[in-house]
Amino acid sequence: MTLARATTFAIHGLHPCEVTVEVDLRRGLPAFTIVGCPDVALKEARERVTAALFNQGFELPLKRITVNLAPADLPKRGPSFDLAIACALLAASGQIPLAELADCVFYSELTLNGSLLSCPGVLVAAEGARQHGFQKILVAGSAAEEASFISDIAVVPAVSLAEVVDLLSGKRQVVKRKQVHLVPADTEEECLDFVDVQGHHLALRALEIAAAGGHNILMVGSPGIGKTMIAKRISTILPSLTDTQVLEVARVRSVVGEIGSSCFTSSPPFRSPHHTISSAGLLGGGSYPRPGEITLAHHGVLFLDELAEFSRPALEGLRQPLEDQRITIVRKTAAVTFPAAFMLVAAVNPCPCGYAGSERCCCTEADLSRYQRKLNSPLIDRIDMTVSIERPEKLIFHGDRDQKSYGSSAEIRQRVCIARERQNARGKSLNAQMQLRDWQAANVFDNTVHERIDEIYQRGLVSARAVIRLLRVARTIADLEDLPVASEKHLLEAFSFRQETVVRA
Amino acid sequence: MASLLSCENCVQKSLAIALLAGRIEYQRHRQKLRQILALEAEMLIAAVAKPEAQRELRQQIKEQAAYVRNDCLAKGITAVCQHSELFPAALCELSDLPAVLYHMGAVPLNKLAEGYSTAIAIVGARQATSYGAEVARKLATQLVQANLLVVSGMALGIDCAAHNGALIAGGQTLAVLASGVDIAYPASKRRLYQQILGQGAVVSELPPGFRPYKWCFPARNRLIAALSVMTVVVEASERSGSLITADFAAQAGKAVAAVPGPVNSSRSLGTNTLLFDGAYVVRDGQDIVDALFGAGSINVDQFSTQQTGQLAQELRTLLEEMSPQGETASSLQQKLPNRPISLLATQLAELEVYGYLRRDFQGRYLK
Repeated sequence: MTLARATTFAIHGLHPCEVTVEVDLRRGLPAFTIVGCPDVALKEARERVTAALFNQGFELPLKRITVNLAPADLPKRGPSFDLAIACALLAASGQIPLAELADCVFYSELTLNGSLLSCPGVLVAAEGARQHGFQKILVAGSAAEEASFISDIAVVPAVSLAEVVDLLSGKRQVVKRKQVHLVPADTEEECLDFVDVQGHHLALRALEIAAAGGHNILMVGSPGIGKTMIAKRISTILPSLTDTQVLEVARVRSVVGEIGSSCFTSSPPFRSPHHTISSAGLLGGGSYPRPGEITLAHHGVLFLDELAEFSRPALEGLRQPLEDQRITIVRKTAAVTFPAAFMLVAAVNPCPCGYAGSERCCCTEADLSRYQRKLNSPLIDRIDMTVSIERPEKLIFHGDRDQKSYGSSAEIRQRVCIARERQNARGKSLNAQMQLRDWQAANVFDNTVHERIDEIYQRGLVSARAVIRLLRVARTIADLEDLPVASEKHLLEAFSFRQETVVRA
Repeated sequence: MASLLSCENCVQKSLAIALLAGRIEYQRHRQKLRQILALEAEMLIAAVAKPEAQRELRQQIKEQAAYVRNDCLAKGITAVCQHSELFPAALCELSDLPAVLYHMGAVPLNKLAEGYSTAIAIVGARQATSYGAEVARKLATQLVQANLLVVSGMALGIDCAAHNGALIAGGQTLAVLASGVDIAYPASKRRLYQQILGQGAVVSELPPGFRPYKWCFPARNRLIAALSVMTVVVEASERSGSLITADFAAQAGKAVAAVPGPVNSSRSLGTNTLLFDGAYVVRDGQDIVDALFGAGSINVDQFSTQQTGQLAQELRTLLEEMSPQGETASSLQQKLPNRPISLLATQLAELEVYGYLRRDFQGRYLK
């Protein structure tokens, strides 16, 4: 029998696609070709597999070797196919029994001396294996923990190709691994706390509301005022992720290769890309679509510091995901949709030099209008809340500092969780995504709210798009107070966090 | 509604100036400029134009005169010369008065003429700080409420703040441009220009379609000074063009006033020096009114439309705590420590909706 098959998975976006690696041997001049739409790294598998086979003491058959990766029109990339190719080749040349390959999935890279090397996407591959009814997945030792997160499938870690062969032919027993459990967020090292922040009560109030309802928020303030310090602590007031959410976050991290020991924590992700990031890096892309920062911030926070410094294409590209909570990347190979349900927190200076309004501002009208054009754009319009952060009156370095702080993270988080529970009871999404029609059935606003909103709109104080956002934030403020019906004062507070222009006009 | 109440000679002179604007540009010194503008059309051409180009120039002027007339009719521009009775009397005192005064806007010339006896010029630096802009705006609002006419040049900074303040209070304002009346210069202020046309008027001594040269700015400053009884400089650095306006006013014997600024601010060096040299001190609209009509004659506050009687007590105390440079919920919390921050934010928003406060770009609330 000179045709052997092994199964592995290719990752398309965030989904596993079953790939059957077929190896065919026939008489002829020795050759080794890989077909089936491989990319450059995959094509190099030839070198890795042959070296690995030799160095592990196996024979490379002196025949015409053809490796096909089926389906042939699915683009495949990366070195994760190495192990499957090697095993299929061994099976085709009779060095391991063919039947053993049947219910296994192979997912690993091979080094030249035959060791297994973990590669990104193990979690997704394991999910795919389970979905397609396979019993076992063979991965590198270091990837075992990642794969173990998926229940109902046996994870078989191996260190070398020889060990794999032994395991397949039954010479070694498979040790059943325990399933990995979630690391609760509290055991994480939480050295950041909002109690460290002096003053800035208004900003923290705004963040509390934003965290409760998942609203996007923009902080405006001069350099050095504390915007970054505050932003770093946002994770401490967000509720923990649910199990499904943890899996989704882990999936994204796995595909990107950022899986580490903290990959299964239930605290929401916090991503803070530098403003020199490209639009593809932020949104996702590349010729084989790869998740961007917004997807890595799925179910978490995306913090864009120095928003004005980000490139125009990157900012423009954010509009769609902010509305739809996902992003679709279309390439000539395929269209891939990545999830992107993140909370945007942005920080910006009020003018290019940063000191607008004070004596130190050295911006000309031309500077300001250019800055304004970049910022007072449809992106800002889609941000629900804006808060201006002022320079603190006094700083206290000793003595009773608690007096000046808004509260501890634990206290704020408790209120946020209560608000979230109310939202869950009411509907399936957070307030920031709710549509008006979802609320019209349930009586969540009283009449004063409708009158007041009318008045505000008539006076031209807000745009039409802003109206729905005001209502959403008002609803969140009411949720924080655990009230079923939102009233006028909630709307007014929401209005205080709404600024039509952010930059000196 | 256009009318051409200017004689052919005057129109020709205004065209001559416009066509020779490039050469006039070379006459840097201010006095020389005034002398040139004071000349009759023929003398002007002889003095400024290149000898070999003069014949052609005269030909051009004759042809263009018809275009100008049609243009004015089409765009609703009124053109008056000194020989017409609609020409502002205040300008007749100038030896270098405008050949033709072009006018456009909702308020016609005769109506404006009524206002000249109480026209106040509010001028200042283009590079204004937010302090200066805020003061200019406030002053203009108060003057309008006291039924005075606000005159300025629609330059960036103080001038536009003054025009804005007047328009917001629903009053008239007069913009004297260095370009033709149909051109909004600076272009970024096009919207303000439209509003001024809608609620006030725009005048210029240059024909429609004319784009300004450098000399046109001091030239129009002399008109601003001439048209008003008092020139108030709000914020000026050492070499600001608004000081030229103050100069013109002083030479013509009109009142000059200035608003003090921080002594370590270079942007207020000009105004502070004016004060040192004896200009009237202006802190608010009341000071202007007192300087013009005597102390105690008119009370500016009585015109203020802000009645706080029906506000809730808490809101009233909040209003009282507001300082002139504006407050945010954070800064108010220092003054009213017993109110939680969310309540302060809510109350400020309520006052904004009622119209007692407005917000600036920084999110500060101002009265």
